[in-house]
Amino acid sequence: MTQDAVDRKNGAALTPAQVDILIYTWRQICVEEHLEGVFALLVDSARRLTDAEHASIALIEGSKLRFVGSTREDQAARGNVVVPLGAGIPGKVAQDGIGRRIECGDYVSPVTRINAPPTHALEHRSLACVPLKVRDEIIGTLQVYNRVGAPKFDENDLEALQVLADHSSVTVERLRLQKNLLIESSRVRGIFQALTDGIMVVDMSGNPVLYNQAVEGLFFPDGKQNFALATYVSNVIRSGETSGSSEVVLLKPHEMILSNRFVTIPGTAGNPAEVIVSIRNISDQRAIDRRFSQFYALMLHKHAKLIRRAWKQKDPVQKRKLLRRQKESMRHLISLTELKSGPLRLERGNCSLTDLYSKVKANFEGGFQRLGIRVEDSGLLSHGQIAGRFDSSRMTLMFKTLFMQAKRTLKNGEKFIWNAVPSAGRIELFVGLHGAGISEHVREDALDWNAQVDRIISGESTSLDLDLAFLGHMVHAHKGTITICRDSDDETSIKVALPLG
Amino acid sequence: MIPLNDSTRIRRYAFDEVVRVPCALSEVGKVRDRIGSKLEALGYTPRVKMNIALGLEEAMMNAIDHGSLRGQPVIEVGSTVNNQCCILQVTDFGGITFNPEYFEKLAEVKEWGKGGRGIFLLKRLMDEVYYFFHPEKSTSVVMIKYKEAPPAVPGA
Repeated sequence: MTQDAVDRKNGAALTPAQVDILIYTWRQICVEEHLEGVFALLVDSARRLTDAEHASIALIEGSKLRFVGSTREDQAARGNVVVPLGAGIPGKVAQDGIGRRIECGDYVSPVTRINAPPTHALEHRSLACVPLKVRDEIIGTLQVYNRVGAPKFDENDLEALQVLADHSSVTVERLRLQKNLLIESSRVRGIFQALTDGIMVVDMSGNPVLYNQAVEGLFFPDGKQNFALATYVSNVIRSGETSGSSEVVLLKPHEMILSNRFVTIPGTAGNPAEVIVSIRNISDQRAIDRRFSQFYALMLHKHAKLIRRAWKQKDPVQKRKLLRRQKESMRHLISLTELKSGPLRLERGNCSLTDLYSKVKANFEGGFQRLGIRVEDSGLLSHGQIAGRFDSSRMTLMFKTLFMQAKRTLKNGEKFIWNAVPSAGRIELFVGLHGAGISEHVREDALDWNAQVDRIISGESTSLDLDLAFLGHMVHAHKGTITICRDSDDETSIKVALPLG
Repeated sequence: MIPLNDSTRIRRYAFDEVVRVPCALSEVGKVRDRIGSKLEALGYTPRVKMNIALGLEEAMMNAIDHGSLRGQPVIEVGSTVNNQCCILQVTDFGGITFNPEYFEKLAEVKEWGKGGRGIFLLKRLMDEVYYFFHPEKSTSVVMIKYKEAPPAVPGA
């Protein structure tokens, strides 16, 4: 650098000592990798350039100015001092980019030319503050405090400080951007790794560029290589679309269902360069759908079988029985559809459980008498009206289901017992089925339809009795509970607890 | 993070040979014989060869069925046969999605009716079976049969 180069239009020129300091500073800045190191270097150079007692540097963060470096071990050096833009001399400089000074304890605004504030209120005897600019954008300020051996900073000092600021601001900004990028990059990588969805970036030949931990978990559960991912990626790329989705059933040996979305990123020439694929393991979600599908399948097949049998049946009594079972099967299908659509909807109203029970009982009385089944319900009826807010149609269905269960499983001379225990805001119904081998017919896991389907698929059982399972859903929808207890081989009780409110 | 330069773990996969054949059952035998001769040359055992041939036939017949449902004239068969394994991919362009697990069960429970035999067989004949569904576009089944016993995969 020549002396001419540092000569300024106002005639101020840098001294040889200042030039040496500047050259030394720039050489040091070139090899400094850390932003904090650059701050330390700049404030030290600023102090030495201007013979100041100390110096500091501040950078704009949004609408604030944060002091990020100081020659003193103070709060400013630790980045703890933040002022709003426009507040104090550095705040004003950061706002309008016009350098400011305190001379001999006096501050004269370069904007208003007003001499303010009074001398005694000023913290410093002398101060010079210049903006740090990148092109025309102000990124911060550099300030020096208390000229040693003089009442103010002279033009040479100001010139040297401004030259230092002008030539270092680009480095500061670049290092700051780099630091922010590193933080951002680290954050993105953290998110990338923390995602439960697999994220993978591959080039157009299918070579992996990047993939996260979830991909590892999805495709290499034990770190073993397999072809699933290779063919998977190949299929995504082969589709040749800019974006899309597909579903993969890794049937054997992984037993896993994956859903993916992919986006093709164009290169600089506009041609497809990379494909970003997000992969989600939807095995669990699909398991629920599969369960419903299996139920539908089971019930539809049974329904079709029933119709075939009813069609061929000559005996009108048997035919009626089969048609009745067909009707029940249809009801189950409707219930299943209702359950699949979401939580059961209730239409609650004031109703008496006792009345509903009596109506249902009246319908079954004749049949029970013919079969010789004894109904003992004094334990229920002795409580008078048991009323509450229920969905009366579903409660009627509950009583019907329990009566049908009794009719189907009990024989001549066996007992169907009803008891009730009311308590504050709640009613507990105990339904006893006393008959030979009843615990085999009404199993404790009858409420768990999954167990029933599993038994059918495994061949343990051929019959599906969903009545109690659906009843369970109705009770739960009323915020009640239902349990089946095997008291002995010949005694099973169903306990239904319902809130009355 | 997995080392990104370890390209042996996830590698590009392109089939050695990809052919498009008309949606006709008469094509099944031709493709089967072509792959059979490659297996023969590489010394695959008769049992493994038979399994692959049966698997390929089933997959092709399913693809022809499904592809022709949408009036698609061709199906695609990709194959890689090497000394380690035989990888086959059969693609139909009907784009009909289905639940392979359901169809597999269909074949297991006799009284449920017909269907699912193909998937049931594929799963038993081959060491690895994947389905790729691109709704309304294509359905691919990838089948892998190892020349020797397959490598142990957790959850298998």
